[in-house]
Amino acid sequence: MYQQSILQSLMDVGFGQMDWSQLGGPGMSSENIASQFAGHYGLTDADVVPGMFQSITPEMLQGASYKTYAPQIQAQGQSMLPDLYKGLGGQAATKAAGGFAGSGGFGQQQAGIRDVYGKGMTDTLSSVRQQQSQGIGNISDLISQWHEMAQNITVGA
Amino acid sequence: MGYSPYQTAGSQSTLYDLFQQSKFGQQKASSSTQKQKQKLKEEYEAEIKAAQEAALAKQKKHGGFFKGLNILGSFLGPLGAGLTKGISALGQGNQQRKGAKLLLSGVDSDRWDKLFTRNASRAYKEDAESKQMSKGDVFGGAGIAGLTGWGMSKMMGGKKDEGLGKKMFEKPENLESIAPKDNIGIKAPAYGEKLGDTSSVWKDSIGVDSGFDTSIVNAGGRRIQAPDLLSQTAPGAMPQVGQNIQNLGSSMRNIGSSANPAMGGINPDLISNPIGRLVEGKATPFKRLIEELTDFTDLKGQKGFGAAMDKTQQALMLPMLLEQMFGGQY
Repeated sequence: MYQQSILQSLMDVGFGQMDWSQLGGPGMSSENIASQFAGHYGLTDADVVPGMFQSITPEMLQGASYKTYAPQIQAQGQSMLPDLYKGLGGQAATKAAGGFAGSGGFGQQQAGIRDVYGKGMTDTLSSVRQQQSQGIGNISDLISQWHEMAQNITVGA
Repeated sequence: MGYSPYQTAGSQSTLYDLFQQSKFGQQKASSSTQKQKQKLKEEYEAEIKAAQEAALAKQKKHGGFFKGLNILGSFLGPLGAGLTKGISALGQGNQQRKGAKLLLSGVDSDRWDKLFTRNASRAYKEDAESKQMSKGDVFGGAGIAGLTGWGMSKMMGGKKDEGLGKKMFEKPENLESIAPKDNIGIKAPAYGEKLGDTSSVWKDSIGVDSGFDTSIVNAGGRRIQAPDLLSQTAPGAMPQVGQNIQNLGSSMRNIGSSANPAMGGINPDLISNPIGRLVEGKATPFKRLIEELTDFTDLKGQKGFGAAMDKTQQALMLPMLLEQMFGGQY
């Protein structure tokens, strides 16, 4: 959603329709960004220089991609699974059940195990999402900076 | 695959690196922007300066001519003064109008209005627009200047300028009746039988208080030692009482050629005309006036205060010349 709004803002400036991966492509060179923003603000190419517009690097795109953080989630989940299995079917579960599966004590023990696993995974997912969001935020900030630079030339700041 | 703290920390540190990288890039971009702003500012200022200089040059064009015309006008009676003042004001006004136009046309306001120079550009444009003049303004100003010149000249006692135009184009020989030669130049005093009493003649006529033997006077811009001139006058050619010294010219012209051929004699008109300008030949007053004005306005090739002073002196002599041409009537 956030990524889509960023792509839309670039289209408003005059860039053509593109997907997220194209942000680091040749169509987003500093020269092209300068030219597009100059046109958007009614400036000429002589009024702006490419150095004013830092292009999006592949690393920035990588930092904003979910794929970058997927292994981290997978690793975190797998590390929690043995505890989960142990908790659900091991000695602790038998003891909690009092020798009889389906007893009230057994049910409570099972729910507790799931909560511990769920909380761990939730924390992991939250952390990953937060990092990805920062990566997208970097790109968003960069685009805002492009606007700021062009506005700086137009009316002053 | 087991849990790897290194992997988790790695992705976080990569993100941090990206953040730092982005921050550094932002600083570079800001620096580039500031440089670009400075460059544009200098470009804008240079454009303004060029426009102002062009406008000033245009407004000053022919300034010397108009000044000369005004000086001349003040000696040409009410109508002449009014006319020359009017023409001068019209010409100067037109130059100012053209110059003021350059203030606007020389600057690309459309461009600078879109940039951070907007405030300065608008202020400049307002200022330049306030300096614009319509052709009506110029004509109106010229009319007022003409009337003022006419009125001022009347107040100063100027007479009706009949036949001014005609006199301006008359040949010098026709002007004799207006400005007879007896009324100009140096006339010998009525006392003394002969010009042997030259010390008094030179002293009284020219105002040089010097002795007979040593007096050196300046006639027509040339230094003439009176005794020498007179002592070398051919026998029998001595002027009589009341005779105009200019008549000495014909004999003096021959003195130089015989005594010292290299000197080529003395032109009698230099004596008859105290300001040292010859009123001879076939040039009309108008033609001579134009020549004088051209001399006055043309400062090419001359530098420094001395050159300017020479030109000013010439300009001041111009009215005197005209006065002589028209017999002091105009």
